[in-house]
Formats: sequence, structure tokens, C-alpha cells
Amino acid sequence: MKIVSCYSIKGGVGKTATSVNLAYMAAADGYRTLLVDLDPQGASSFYFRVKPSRKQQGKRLIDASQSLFKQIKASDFDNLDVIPAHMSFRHFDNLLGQLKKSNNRLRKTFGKLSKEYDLIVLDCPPTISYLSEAVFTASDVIFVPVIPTTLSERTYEQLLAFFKKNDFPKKRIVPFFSMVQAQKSLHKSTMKSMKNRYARFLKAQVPFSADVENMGEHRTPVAEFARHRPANKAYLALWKEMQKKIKRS
Amino acid sequence: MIKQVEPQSWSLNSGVSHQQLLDAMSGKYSVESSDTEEETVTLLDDPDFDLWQAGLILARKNNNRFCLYGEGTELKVERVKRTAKFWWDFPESDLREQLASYIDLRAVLEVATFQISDRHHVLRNDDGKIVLRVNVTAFADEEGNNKRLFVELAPLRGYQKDLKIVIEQLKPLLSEQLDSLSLQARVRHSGFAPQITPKKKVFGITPDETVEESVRQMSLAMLNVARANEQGVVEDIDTEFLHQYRVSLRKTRSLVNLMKKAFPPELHLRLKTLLAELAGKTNDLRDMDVFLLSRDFYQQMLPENFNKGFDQLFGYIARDREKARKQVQLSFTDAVHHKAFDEVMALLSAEPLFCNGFAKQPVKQAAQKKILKRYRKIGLLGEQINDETPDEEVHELRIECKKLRYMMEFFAELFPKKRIRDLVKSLKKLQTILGDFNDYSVQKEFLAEYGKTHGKSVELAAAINGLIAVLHQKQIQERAKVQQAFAAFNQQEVINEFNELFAAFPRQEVNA
Repeated sequence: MKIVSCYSIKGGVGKTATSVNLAYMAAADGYRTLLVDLDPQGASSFYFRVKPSRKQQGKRLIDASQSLFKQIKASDFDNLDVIPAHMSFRHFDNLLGQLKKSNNRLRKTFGKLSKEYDLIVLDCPPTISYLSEAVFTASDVIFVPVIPTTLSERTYEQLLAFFKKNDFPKKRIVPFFSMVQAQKSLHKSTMKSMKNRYARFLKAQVPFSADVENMGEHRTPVAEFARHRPANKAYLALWKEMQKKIKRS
Repeated sequence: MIKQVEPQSWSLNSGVSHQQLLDAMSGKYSVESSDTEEETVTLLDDPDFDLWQAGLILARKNNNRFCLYGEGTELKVERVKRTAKFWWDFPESDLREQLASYIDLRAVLEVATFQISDRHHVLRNDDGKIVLRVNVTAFADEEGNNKRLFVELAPLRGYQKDLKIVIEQLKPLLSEQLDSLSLQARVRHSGFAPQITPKKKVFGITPDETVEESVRQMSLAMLNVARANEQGVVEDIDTEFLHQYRVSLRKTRSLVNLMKKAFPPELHLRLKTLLAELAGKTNDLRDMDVFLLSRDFYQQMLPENFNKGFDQLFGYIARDREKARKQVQLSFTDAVHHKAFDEVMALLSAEPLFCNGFAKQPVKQAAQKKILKRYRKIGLLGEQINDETPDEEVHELRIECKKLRYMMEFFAELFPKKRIRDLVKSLKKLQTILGDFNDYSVQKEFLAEYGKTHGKSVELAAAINGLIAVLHQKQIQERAKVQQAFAAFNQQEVINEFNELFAAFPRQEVNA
């Protein structure tokens, strides 16, 4: 079983769209997949139309994995389950902060599902927190969407610096360009310079697309309503590259 | 697959329509439906329903696809000849192997045809999320009548509550909860119930009834089995019908002869003649059947360059088999045959005559005496056999063993099951060797005769002579085993058991 995460310090970079389509494509390729929506905004849960059960308490995540696993819900698609976001997930952070060796807890918790799933996809909230540190420790690969703008470039550098400072293995970070508008010269020049500086960027890039935005209306992965459109083809190419990284991790 | 929640399966009350079911589910949920898939499925089984009895279903579907359904298993094979009847008519596959082990030499026949229509639905909640998958299947007979609906409710993980709600809504329509919606379960609940004749080898005789009454009763039972197989022979469904017919007649004849003192001499003679007549006219056909069924066995005896003659030989046998079959068919549909059969049945159904003391003896006591007598005769015959003894004496031993075996099996129900079974087992080993020894000699004769009567082809003669030579070697090998096999049978433990089980007057009674 592999654990991957979609992470960015900056919000609105296409992180959730990536998690949703990545999980969907992995499942379609036969990976028994669990998507965990760690973002209290619950966007990926929304896309898959799942809501948390009322009774469950998210704050018990770390010490009582059983109650977390009770939150698992089947999506409408074969091989794909979802743990929906819960407002009380926001307590994780405090909790993780109080625990010793808390960074390992997340990995241990999901490790218990290794017989049931081949792939766990963590959709993370856009912050640097105890939770994101636990995610960095737990993940075999961390996919980072980067919009080719100056501001995004800066946050990417901040992430690398944070990894260096805290001794997290930098090679787990796999960036790719997201929401690319090819006609914009700023996007073009940023991509060129960043690719020169960071060899780790994936070749596939996700274009800025109305189809991706429309996921909110359709509440389903792009492939379900725009299979032959460029956005879906981009996600497919991205998934093929990601798959190699996951296998090699 | 990831963890699934167990689906629930139900049969619906008769008369409930698909629309009623859908109406009952909607309300809280929106229903999305697939198109209906229709399929005609024909079930096949052998005449004894061996597949059904083993919990299997062989189904023929559209486009000559066959499926063998077991407990949670499904074997498929495509491009099967529509005329496929025996396991060896199927393309090489797991299905074929399974079939071979369950039906052996029997043919599969159509036993029922169903029209099955499947429709899949999903129920969505207010968020548009699928919460339950609903599969509805309708079973109707060939003409589309007697429709019966079944429903499978497959909840999604995390949405079991919705299953409860839907079941509550459907309750007035649901009839019976089933373990699964397997084809077996649906077929069973559609009212399919094959008539299976139990294979019990019990005649229902009691130790104290008279010899004559028992022999009459047992003979009639066996003759009924023979008669029940006649139609299958006429239709040439498979070779087992004739085999069963002959076995039943042979056993009846054997019983009547072994217990001949139970009847007045003229009656015994008449029975013997009629039974021999009824069986005799099928001898040729059975000989050919046995040869054709053992084709592979013979084929591997000869090197490849004998193939041409070998194929000629089996071509002739197949042709002669067809001739013999037509003759049997003619005679079985002839009034003379039925008259003879009716006469035997009438003679045996008549009131007992009790013409002598033996006829009136309690059957268990008489059987014990007879069995012990047969057994002792075998002892005397067997002890004289060594490697130089002429073949005739070996044949005599074989015949005596066969008589003993029949006697023990006829009256088995009067004795403790396990003890009889063990004794039969020890006898069987000896019989196998004696039987093979005899079979090789019969086959040699058959082939030699065939060589004389069938053309002058050099290849044919070579194949026949080749087979005779190998059979002869095999016969010599079996012959060499006889003495030792008899010694193994003739051990003290077996001797004691025979003497004890079949002593007409158990020791304690004598002492008392």
C-alpha cells in the first residue's frame, strides 16, 4: 500500500481537483483506493457527494483509528472509497501538537488499512501545520500543484526551505504545473525558468479549464462528464506519470 | 475489490410487478434504471440429475456459450457445438473437466428453459449520491409465463442505513429472504424440482420373510430398473442406459439362478430362459460400446504408424455399433420383446408357491448358508491355483467370486453395513485382477473374430494383430498376479470374518 498526498501551502491551485481525478483514475486502473479529505472545507467530499456521519468525532482520529475507519464511505465508483472531511478534523492539529512522535501517527493509523487498499490519497488543507508535517512523514510521494506565477514560485521555494530546515526527505516532493494558461507570457517564462531550476517537475501539466471548474456543478470527476476534453486528457497523462513515481517510491 | 457490504436477496410475492417495486422504492430516493437485459437460459443435466444433486447447474446461453455454476464459482466455455451431449464434446476447458468428473459416461439433456430478464437500478439521495444498488431479475418459463421476480439490494459502505429504510418500504412486497441470487437459488425458487430416483440399493426385505417372497420382490425391483432404462436405449441417449438395463437383468438372472430352489423347476427354467432372451439380444451392442468407449486405451497401445489401420478398425466398429443399435431399437419396440418382459414380471408378481422347505425358509438364514457355501467353494478352488493351472480353472474362480459378490450385495441390508462393506472390499481386489484377466481374453477373441470378418486391408490386420499381441502380454501380466491376489484374500482375518458373519447358527445359540 502506498500513501500519496496532494499538498500546497497556497490555496486555489487545483489541489482538490487533482486529488479527486487522481483517485478516480487510480481506482479505474484497478488500485483499491481510499481518498481521505483532510481539508475541513470538504471540497473533495463534495465532489464525491459524501458527507460525514454525524455521530463520529474527528478529534479521535489519532488515538482511535477504528472510529475513523467507520467514516469510510463507498463512492459511486468501483474500487474507490472516501473518508469525508469533518469540521472537527481541525482539532487534529492541536492534538498532533500535544503528542510525542506525532509525525508517525498518521502513517501508523493508515498502515492498518494496508490489506484493504493499494493506494491512499490524502487531500490536505493549504497550511503548514502539525497536520501537514504528519502528512509529509506519512506520504511516499507528495504531489505539489504549482501555478506558474511569481507568487506560486515563492510558495514552492518556501516549501523546499521548510523541508530542508526540518529534515524531511526532499525527494518525496513531486511538483507539476497546474491551471496553466499557455497564452500568458508570464506563465510561459515562469515554467521555463522553474523547469531549468527544478528537474523534478512532471512533464504533464494541467491547463486552466472550464471543465475543471465545472466539476463543482457536476459533482463528479472530469472523466465522467468531459472524457474527451483536454482537461481530462491532461489528468490522464498526469496520472500515468504519477503512477510511475508511486511505483518507484 | 475493496470491502463490500453483504447484499440482501429476496424473492418477491407472486404477482408483484417491476413497476410496483420501483414505486415502492422511490419517494425518499430518486431511481435511475438501466435497460433490461434479456436472456434465454436452458438448463442441462444427465438423466440422474448428477449435476443438480452436486449443487451444480449447467446452462446453455445464447451463441452456444455454456456456463457451469457451482457454489460461488462460474466456469465458462464458448463455441460449443449445439449438439454437445457428452463431456468429451466440449472444448478443452475447466468446465469440461468438471463435467467429466460429475457425469462420466452420461449424456446431458435439456431439462428446463427459462427466460431471464435483468434490470439494474441505483437509488440516489438528495445529494445525488448512490446509496443502494438494486438488481431485479425476472424468471419466466419458455413461453414467458409463470413470471417470478427476485431482488438483490446491495448497500454501499457507509450507507447501510438506507438499506434498512428501503427494506422497510418494500416489506409488503417481499416474500422470502434468500442466501444469494445465484442461478441455483433462483431456479429452485422458480419452482424447478427435478424428479430424482434415489440410488439406494435397498430392497426393503426383512430377515424373517421367506426366501421365495424376498427373491420375487428383489427380482421385480431390479426388473423395474431394467425397464426404466429401455426408453433411453431406444433413443440412444447414452451408453449407460443399456449398461444399466443389462446389469439389472444380469443380476436378476443371477439371483434367480443362485436361489433356484425357491421355485418349482419348470418355473425356474422359464424365468431363466426369458431373462437370457431379454439380455442376449443386446450383447453385440454392448461389446461395441465398450470398445468405442475405450478408444484412448487401445490407441496408446500402438505406435503411431499403426494409426491408419487403427482408425479403420474403429470406423468399422462404429459402423457395426450403429447396426447393432438399430437391431436393439427394433427389438425393444417390438411386441415380442414386451410380451416376454410382461411374462417375466407376471410370473414373479404371482403369489408365492412355497413348493418346498427352502422356499419357506427365513431369507437371512438361507442367505447365510448360501454365502458361506459359495465362500468355501472359492477357498477350495483358489488354493489349487498356481502359475501352471489352466486358464479354465482361473475362469471358474472368477465366476465363483462373482456369484459370491452378488450374493453379498443382494442381501447386504440383512447384515451390518460396515462388516459387509469390508468383506466386499477384500473380495473386490481379487475380482479386479480376475476380471481384467478375463476381459483381455474376451477382447482378444473379439478382435481375432473381427479380423476374420472385416476385409483384407493390410493396415487393419496389422492394427488388430498389434492390439492382440499387447492384450496378450497384459493378460499374462494379470495371470501372474492371481496366485498372490488369492493369498491376500484368503488370509485368516477374512476367513474368520466370513465364518462369523455368515454362520447360520451363531455360536452362543448352539451353546445354549
